[in-house]
Amino acid sequence: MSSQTEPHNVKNEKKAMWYSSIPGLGQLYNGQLFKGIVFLAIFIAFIVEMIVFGFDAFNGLITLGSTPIEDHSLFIMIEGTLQLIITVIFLAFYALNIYDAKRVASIWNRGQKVNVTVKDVMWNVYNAGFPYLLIVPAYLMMAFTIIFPVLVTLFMAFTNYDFYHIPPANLIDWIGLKNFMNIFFLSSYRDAFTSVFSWTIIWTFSATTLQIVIGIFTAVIANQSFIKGKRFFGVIFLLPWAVPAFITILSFSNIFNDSIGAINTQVIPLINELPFVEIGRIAWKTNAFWSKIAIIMIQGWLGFPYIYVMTTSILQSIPEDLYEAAKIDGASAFQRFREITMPMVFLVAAPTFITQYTQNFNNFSMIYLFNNGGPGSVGGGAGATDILISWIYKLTTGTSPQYSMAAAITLIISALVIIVSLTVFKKTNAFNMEDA
Amino acid sequence: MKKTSWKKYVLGLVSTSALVLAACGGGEEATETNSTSGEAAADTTLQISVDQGYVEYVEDIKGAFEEENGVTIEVTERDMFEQLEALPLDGPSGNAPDIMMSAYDRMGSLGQQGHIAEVTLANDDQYDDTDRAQVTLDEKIYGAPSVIETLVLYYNTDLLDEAPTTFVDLEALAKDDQFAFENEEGKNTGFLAKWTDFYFTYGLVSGYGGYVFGEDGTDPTDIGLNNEGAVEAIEYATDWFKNTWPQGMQDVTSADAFITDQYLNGKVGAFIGGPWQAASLKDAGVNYGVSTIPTLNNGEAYEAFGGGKGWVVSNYSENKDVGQAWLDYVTNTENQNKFYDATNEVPANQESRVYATEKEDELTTAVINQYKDAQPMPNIPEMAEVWTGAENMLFDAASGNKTPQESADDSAKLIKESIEQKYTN
Repeated sequence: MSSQTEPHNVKNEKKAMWYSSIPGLGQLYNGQLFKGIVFLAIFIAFIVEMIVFGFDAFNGLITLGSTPIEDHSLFIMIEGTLQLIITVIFLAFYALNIYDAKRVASIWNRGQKVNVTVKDVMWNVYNAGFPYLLIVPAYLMMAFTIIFPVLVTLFMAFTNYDFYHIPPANLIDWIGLKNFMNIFFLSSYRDAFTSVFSWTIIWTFSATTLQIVIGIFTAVIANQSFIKGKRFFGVIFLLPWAVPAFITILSFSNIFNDSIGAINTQVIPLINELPFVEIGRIAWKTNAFWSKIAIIMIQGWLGFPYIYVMTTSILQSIPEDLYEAAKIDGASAFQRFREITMPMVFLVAAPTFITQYTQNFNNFSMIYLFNNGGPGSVGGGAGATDILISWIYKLTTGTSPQYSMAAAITLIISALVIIVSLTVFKKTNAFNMEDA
Repeated sequence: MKKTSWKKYVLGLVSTSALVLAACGGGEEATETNSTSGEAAADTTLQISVDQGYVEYVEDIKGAFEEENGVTIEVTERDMFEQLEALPLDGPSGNAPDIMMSAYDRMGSLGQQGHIAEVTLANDDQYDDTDRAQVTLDEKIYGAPSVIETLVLYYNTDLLDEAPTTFVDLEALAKDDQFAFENEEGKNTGFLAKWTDFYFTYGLVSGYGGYVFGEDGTDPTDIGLNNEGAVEAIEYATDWFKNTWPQGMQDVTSADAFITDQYLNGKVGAFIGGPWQAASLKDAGVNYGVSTIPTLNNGEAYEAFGGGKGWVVSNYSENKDVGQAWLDYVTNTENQNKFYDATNEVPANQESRVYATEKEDELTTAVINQYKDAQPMPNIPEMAEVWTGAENMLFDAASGNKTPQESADDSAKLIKESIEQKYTN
């Protein structure tokens, strides 16, 4: 076909939009045959999908099944969630198709060139939309690998999914906000939640701050010009990071044993050799307070090498002449550290420090492997050193799992982590991806 | 120009997504329907999942059963607890085995939740009331008893001439200087028991008159863990923790390792343990004897929980009748005798118990004798709350955080509350 210039077409925008209430018709009205057919095909595919699968899925999402054994509430909920995502994508498409009809009509009216032929439309998609074509699979993957599970968890928090209602023998039902109410009003959960939550905050703050302080301290010291054997120290400081944490924690669990652990039987007696020092045996694993101290110390030991490496590399990039100038102005070593080193380190590493906090907030392995959340308990199935994440683990495993309760607590945790991270990230300008 | 065109791309993006989705959607439908129908083959196969240690035994005896019933048996090896955890998920999707083994205390809740099928017991004279109670919940039988186990006393034959028979003997051991614990002044490891773990403590509590759920372990409203007898038992245990045992015994996570470690070093005269610990002692090459647990100071027996495993049929199985036949076959006297020979685990079948006793294995005899005093572990789902509530009962008393009375009251209250709040349908 030769590309002849179309005669000046007048299109009614309103009309095009109304036509497009059935996707594709508006495009046909605008003379874009190929686009219209594609849109119509999508629409029909969706209608068919709704008839075959969608209506049942939506209905299931509302009822969550009616006959035990035949209906598996959990699968029904999952199908409903899938349908929800598909529908949302379709609705977005629907809105855009109406918008497109209006837009193309207005282009006609302005007398600009409209892509009518298949070749033109494809060429336009290829030219202008190529990057988007490449992104589509990733977006779809994201919808189904990230959004979908999150949605299911979200829904689960509003059901009564526990050991009494395990499909398919029993049905799951929507119970609204009851789980959240239980967390805040039922004695067995309330006491546990407040004490677990407060310990989680204390733990996150102390352990992470400790590892950051040790990391920066060792890095600054090891980078002083008068230190001999920097290589050697570098390797030494990296060791805690090189050994898998899993194994380290388990062996620490033994080292801190009250009766036969190395700390009580060898280290403390050795320290006691010093004059005027007399430390008794410490109940590392049978006393809640000391258990917490031990866990924080171990996390400091495990976590500092990462901070150390990062700080070391940042220190390399601080120009030496800043320090020179400060020295000439008579700044003390501490002032130099506070006014030059610290701001430079934080400028670069603040986001990483934040992620360290969020990581420790959910540091399951440390708590679980060291003392299984013990010693003793604070009710609600939580141990004295349990943090929220390990408490959830205890709620969902064992012989009477309470999945819905765990989902509710998970939501609370996620909300907290997201809010805190976002605020701090905004404050530290970590996501300002502009050139400074 | 740039401003106006992005919407066009979004449109392209969304419509492409929709297309891809439509294509995928069609594919998904198809795969979903035929995954469940893969079960019904022309020749029936019965899938049996067992622990590693039992594979050989099942392979050994399956031949006769296959011929008689015209089925093929596929044996898969999987950890029992793992298999039970997976059943609620695998079952509905048709990937679960037909036959499994289950610990007695898991049968109740699995049966109640509808994951394992109701079965019948082959011939009644194989079992006594305790055995039947183990596999029954609300008058429904969910499994065929196969193995029994309960706690026994291990003692060091190099250091003791004969097994202690009363707790007075054990207290005497704990005054013996050869068992003095060197790292802590005045502490002694002559006799050890993991009493922070309620499973181990229960025999003591029960011997003094405490109980979990009423007379026969089925009444969750009647918790007897803070009655006079139970408190007395906790006081007695606390005395051991505070005045005799090293601090490490209070450590719930590592008390097991501590006991084994001390025993291997020849620092322990006797300890309370389960039959599953015999193998590791044997491997370590130390000498040990096994006997029943000594009589308590009030003259009563140590009434530990009786536990064990039985065969269960998946409720998702399509060959439940064949499954039932397998249960009857595998638990008959002949096969239970073979089972004992193959695994050295004590068979539940009464006639096989006699056979096993005749073999004069110390451990077997001790388990069988101790089992006479054992109480079936309550198998109602509420038992889960007892484990968490009572574990800390002993810890709190032993560590001095609370008095035994307070600790018992708090635990009972916690268990009661948890049950009220979580188990109201």
